[in-house]
Amino acid sequence: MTEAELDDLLVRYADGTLDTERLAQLEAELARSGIARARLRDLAEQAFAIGEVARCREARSPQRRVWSFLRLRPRGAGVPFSLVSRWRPCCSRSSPLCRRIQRELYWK
Amino acid sequence: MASLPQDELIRTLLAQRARISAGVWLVVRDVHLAEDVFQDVMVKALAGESFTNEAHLLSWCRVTARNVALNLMRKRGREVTTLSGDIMELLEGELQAQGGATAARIEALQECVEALPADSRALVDARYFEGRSCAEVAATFKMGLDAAYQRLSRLHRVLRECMEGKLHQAATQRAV
Repeated sequence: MTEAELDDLLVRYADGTLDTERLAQLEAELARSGIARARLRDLAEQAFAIGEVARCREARSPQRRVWSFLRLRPRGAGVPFSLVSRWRPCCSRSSPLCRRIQRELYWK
Repeated sequence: MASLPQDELIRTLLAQRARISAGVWLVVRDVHLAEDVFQDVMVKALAGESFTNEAHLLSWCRVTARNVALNLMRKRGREVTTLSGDIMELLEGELQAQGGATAARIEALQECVEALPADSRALVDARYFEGRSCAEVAATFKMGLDAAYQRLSRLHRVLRECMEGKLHQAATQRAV
């Protein structure tokens, strides 16, 4: 399988549009080739990174910051929450993960 | 038997977030669902599970994350045309074996994403952040479906080469 064919299969796998035959073809290549597996892992990391950059951009937007300030004040679970808030530079208290963990710990 | 303290558990899971989420993405192929699964796993871990050490926690996370991801897909009525369990094991094992390298790779990738030209960035955002299918992306950007697949393949290659360049540069600077 050429590199271009592999890339095409991976993008279509990510899109969820591979038919059974081509999925089997991709699986055979992934089972056989460490390079193919590395390409798929790269794709997963790239999707994650794209999501992170976009979330950070949203979190930095002025409209979002106003809402975050109005809605959320820290309460309880100080130590674990302070760990969570260092999760990443743009992790504000408005992030869903921070909110959810804070809520879980608060009611525990 | 001693169990992992809660603050250490949180610290470990947050440090491994990129790796766990990337593993989940391989199943769900949606960054928001991957984040939901990571949150579920984190809450389950905090809700009373007991772990003897970090390795125990991470191994539990790997299995739990995959099960939660598959259940979520079923619940949402999505057809699960995903890779076989054996291939997933192999991929997740290799992701785990990357160890701390994942964080550096993600950091380099984020810089590469930010450096993309605006139109390329809009395209990858539409596909991976807004969760639009390639057909929707093709319609939005007024191109054929095959052209959209080719453009995305090219952008993935650009991002990979950019990340490798940054990691190589960092390794060279460390060596000096």
